[in-house]
Amino acid sequence: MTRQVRIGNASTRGARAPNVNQAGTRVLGILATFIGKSVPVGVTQLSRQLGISKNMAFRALDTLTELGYLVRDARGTGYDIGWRTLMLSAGAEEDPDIRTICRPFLERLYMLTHETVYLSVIVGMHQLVVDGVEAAGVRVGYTPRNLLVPLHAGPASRTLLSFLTDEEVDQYIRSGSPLKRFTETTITDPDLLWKEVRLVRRRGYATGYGDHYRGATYIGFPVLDASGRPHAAVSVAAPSDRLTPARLKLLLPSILEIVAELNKVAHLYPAHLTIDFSRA
Amino acid sequence: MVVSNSSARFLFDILELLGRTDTPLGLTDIRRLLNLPVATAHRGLATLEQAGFAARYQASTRYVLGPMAKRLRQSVISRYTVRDRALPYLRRLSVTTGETTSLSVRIGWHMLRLVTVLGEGDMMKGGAVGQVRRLDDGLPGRVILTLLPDEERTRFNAYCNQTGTPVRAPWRVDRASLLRRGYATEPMAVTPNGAGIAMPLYDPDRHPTAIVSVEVLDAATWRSHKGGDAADLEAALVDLARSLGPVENHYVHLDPDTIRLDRER
Repeated sequence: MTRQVRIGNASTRGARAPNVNQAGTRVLGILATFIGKSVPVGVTQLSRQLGISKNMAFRALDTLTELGYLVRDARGTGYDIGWRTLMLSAGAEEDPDIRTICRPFLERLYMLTHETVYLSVIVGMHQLVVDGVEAAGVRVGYTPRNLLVPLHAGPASRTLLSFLTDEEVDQYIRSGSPLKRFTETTITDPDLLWKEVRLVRRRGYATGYGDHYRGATYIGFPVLDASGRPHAAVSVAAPSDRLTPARLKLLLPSILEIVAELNKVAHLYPAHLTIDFSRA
Repeated sequence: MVVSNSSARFLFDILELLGRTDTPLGLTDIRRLLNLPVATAHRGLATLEQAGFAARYQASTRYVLGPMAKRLRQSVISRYTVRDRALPYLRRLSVTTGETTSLSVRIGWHMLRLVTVLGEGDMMKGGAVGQVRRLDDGLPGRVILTLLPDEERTRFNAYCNQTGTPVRAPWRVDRASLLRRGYATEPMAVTPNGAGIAMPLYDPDRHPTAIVSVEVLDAATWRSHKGGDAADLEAALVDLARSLGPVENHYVHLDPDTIRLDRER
């Protein structure tokens, strides 16, 4: 049987990696599954998830519990992340900013698509690009970085807008009305914008309609904290004749997988986002 | 009988060594500091690097903690939902007072800082998120100590003696005043004219389990130029405590003596 244990970005499938401690690799892999877990995990669930025997899982859990990296939960039915992980700090570290968190994932999205990938945050009533990886050749540029785009125009903007609260969306529409039109497809009607917000929330991403720029295909994904507040939006953009609907359909599952991994990390940090559109 | 993976333990010695040093470490440093054979240290680093728990510092031959180690540590912090619930209130408190506000929770005989919201004039950035301090080190922990029953304080003293670092003196906070006002204040050691304010929050069983702190950098300036008023601050703290409700404590079922977070260990 081929056994697979995923550890971070690495995975070992059958063949042994040279010069690594196999038992250690398994223990670290099990510990890694507790990252971002908000409820205790049982042995059966863990062994099933990692495709290892219960005995093997027990041995690793026993080691990690003895060391304090895991603890038995209060009911004694499962395992929870332990206090000893707090020792993994040089002491004076600050929370990483959203660019640092997202950067490796932007690069992975670029390697997957070979198209321009960018990261945007909310500034006032606008979206602002703060990082990105620009594709080679004929491409969509993510610069100028200092361009402020209203939150109703373009998929990155609409992604950010959609994951605000209903009150905040209402406040944006009230404060921003009449909403600025950039192209004939820019959504300026409040009812249609609300319809779009609900679609993005349901689908989990926003697509472009040439509503800010024409001739390019954009798709935007939210980067959220554990409570669902947006840290940022990640977008992939390319000339429309290259990022065709058929190619996008092919790429989408892999893009969503990377975005889900990014969100797993982003969930660990609170989004420092205070919105007051009435003052904007 | 389940036999644990004892051969994996040295990996955590390497990991914690990387965690407690301020500078990147090379193979020779690690081998020497942990008294490990070269081959073992090399294999350990390769295992940790492959799993993302250690990483090379700027593509050199020296190592620092990797992203997985940092995410793991952050996972403990993000388990406390009170962090996200408290954040908007702490931000508001920080904006209205202009001072740094923070939230810490008790873990065993220690306090863990969950949130820091910097005040407009605070450039010191002393208390990073994730900082762990023993209960007698800092006002938040001392407030918790003051509220503990006598027998628990005796246990804390015994724990400190056992770890070879006796209790710092003086740590006492005026208990009667704390219970009457609901918060404690004391001058800040590092800032002349500065004052720390700490208010306890309780778990569902009414055990003191978390502390909201405000670090007023200059009490005189705050009162005269920002219109600061102790009564306003007190009202804001009481409102915060009421809004947050009981605070969860994930490790309350563990014997505090077994939670060994002392760096000097």
